Amino acid sequence: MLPFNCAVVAVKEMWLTHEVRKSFAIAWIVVSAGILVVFFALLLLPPNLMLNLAPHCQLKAQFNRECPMCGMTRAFVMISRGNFSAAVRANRGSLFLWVVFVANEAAILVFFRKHLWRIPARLVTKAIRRDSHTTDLEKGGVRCKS
Amino acid sequence: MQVLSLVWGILSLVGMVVAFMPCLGSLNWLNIPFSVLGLIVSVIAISTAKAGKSKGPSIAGIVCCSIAVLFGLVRLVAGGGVL
Repeated sequence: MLPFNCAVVAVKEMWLTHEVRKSFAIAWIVVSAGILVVFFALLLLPPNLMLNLAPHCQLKAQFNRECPMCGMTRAFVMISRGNFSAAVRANRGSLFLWVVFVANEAAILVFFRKHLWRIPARLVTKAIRRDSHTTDLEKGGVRCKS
Repeated sequence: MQVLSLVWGILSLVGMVVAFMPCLGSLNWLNIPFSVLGLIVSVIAISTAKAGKSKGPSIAGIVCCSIAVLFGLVRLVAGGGVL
């Protein structure tokens, strides 16, 4: 029981500290960015290219049996073209997955709306500070206090 | 560095879950090296952590990356490296 208790104490100490929350937020942003890239690829790339890029089902190729993910790429291509009924016919779970992805993107916009708008401003401020720091050094060797 | 190792661990676990889906087992060929890199980053994070500072996130990163490597290997073997 001792290792289990130690693990519980470690998790309790670490749980929802600033670092953990920050890590989860960054991971969420990365995953959502990946989903967004997929959405844009579906909209911008031609359907044939998308279908060729998707992995071919080995279960179907070797055993002639469809897996639960079979037809998912086709369904997503259909959804991006607005053909929802054909998407459901291609894969029954596709519409549910698409709704989950869209809800995730909406949720990340809602949760990080303040921070997301601040990111470009922060980057500009940092760049201006760095620039002024280097010009000060060039002018007369003024040292930055920070 | 602590945050980076935990982020890496979480992303490895996400990759592992995605690779567990049918027909996406070959994704483990990418996810396992990614997780191994995460393990290295987490070990560096632990070794470079300052005294008195919490090492929890980097330990969590090591645990997450190890789980991703182990389960990824099992999934890869079970799927014959392709399925």
